[in-house]
Amino acid sequence: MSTEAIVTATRARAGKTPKRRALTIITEIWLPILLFAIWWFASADSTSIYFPSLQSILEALGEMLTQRFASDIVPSLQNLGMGLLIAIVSGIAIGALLGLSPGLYRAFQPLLEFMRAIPGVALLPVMLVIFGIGSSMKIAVIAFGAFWPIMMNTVDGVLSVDGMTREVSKSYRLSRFDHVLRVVLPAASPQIISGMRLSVSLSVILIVASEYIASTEGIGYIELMSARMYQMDTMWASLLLLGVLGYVANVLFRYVEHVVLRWHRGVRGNTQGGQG
Amino acid sequence: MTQLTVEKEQLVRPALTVSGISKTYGTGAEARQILGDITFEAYDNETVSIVGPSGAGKTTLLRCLAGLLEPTSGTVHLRDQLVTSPPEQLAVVFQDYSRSLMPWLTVQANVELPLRGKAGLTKTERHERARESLESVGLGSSGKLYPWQLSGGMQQRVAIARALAYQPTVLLMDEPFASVDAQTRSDLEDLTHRIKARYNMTILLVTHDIEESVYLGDRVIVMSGTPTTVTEIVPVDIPYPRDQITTKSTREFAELRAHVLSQIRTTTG
Repeated sequence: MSTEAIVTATRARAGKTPKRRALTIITEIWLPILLFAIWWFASADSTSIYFPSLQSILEALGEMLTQRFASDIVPSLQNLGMGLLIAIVSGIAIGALLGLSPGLYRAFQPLLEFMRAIPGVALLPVMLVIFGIGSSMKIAVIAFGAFWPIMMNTVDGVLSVDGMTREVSKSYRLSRFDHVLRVVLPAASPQIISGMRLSVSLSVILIVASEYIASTEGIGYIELMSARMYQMDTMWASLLLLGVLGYVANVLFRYVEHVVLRWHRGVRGNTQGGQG
Repeated sequence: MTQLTVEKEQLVRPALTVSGISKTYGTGAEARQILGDITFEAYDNETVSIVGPSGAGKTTLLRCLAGLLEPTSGTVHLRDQLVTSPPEQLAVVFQDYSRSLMPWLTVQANVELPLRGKAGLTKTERHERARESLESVGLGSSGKLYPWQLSGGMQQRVAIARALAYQPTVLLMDEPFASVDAQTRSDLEDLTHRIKARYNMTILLVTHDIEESVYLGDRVIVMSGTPTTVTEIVPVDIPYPRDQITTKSTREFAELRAHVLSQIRTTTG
């Protein structure tokens, strides 16, 4: 690739102009639209019970979005958000504490490795017994499952903060507060965010699983019940909705990452481009 | 009587007093002595260059002076205060600017960061002080940029501005210009001269560059040997203002340079 081509490629990736942005969007959505169209026409005359036409699935989805929005979709999202929030706050706080006190970390490590090895779904019956059927149980399961990747990545990130960075902090007598909030956590943020990314996917799994086990509401509950009652269009619609929600969560997360880690990309861009 | 002695002592105390510093890493058979019995002073408004071959433990010495590393024996005093942890009247410019600046903070925020701990500074005062010191290193309009958007020389200027905003009485510089190109290096050397003229500070400059040590120093402390000791303290009586072309082409400069070089050669070779 010539130098010019590299420059052009870099510009395209940066996607600054509206024209470029439009082009990026088009390259990303033409295939989904095509597949959707194929699905629509191929399933139009479907007589199969298991694979209804896309049209009826979308009708079921529309019905779900209008009639069961407050009763099922909102609770699912609320529990997901709440569980994730608890995991993020406690994961970063405890991770930072352990990362900053290596002695404490070494003492806790075997226990943490053990707890982390327990699959989140394995806690469903336990939480069910403790909290009963309801939001608390789901939030607890999500918070537990999503906590580990964030906490472990925070520890890793904090432990790998550059020695020079610590030295600067020390020689300029930064307060403990400033050192943690303005130096250590930002330095560890690339790892923390990749932990959060894992946790988001994990918590989607956990919310659905918790709605299967014991629940009277939620998207997972709709899916399970409609499958049991052979309402295949509603079943597929809830699956479609889960996919879309997961996708939207990922896009939102990518945007947050884009803003928070702007400096990280900048530094990396510099060291890679520094060769020339 | 007692009061008189104290007063007298305060009058003569240099800005920085280093007495009998030594540093040994490891113990027993694996013990490796890096620094052996180093003693010198640095006075007010004086620039002291510490020069020696690479690996001579210059950075170890600087870290002891900065309170970042505890010497095995000996003491460091900043005026009357025994240095056991980083003192408030001391700032450090590290060699590796790409690691010493925080890439997630803007240039302005980088300079302001150490000021947060200074008692009695309001947010506006912090901001103003940072802006002023950025201006004094010629970066008055770069405050909103990030360090990684700047060239190496400019990044080191930010690190210098950060140290200046801290308003130290002693400024330690650890090979500050070792990672920039020759042209930038001489620009930064001249910037150091301007800073010296403008601020009341004692500057300690650690370098392996003999020419730089003479050009910037009022005295040059030559270090060499294993463990490292002070070979000679060479006074540099070249008048200010000094400049890259005329000062460096004087006979006096050439002689001092040759002298320092021979001092390092005789003890290492």
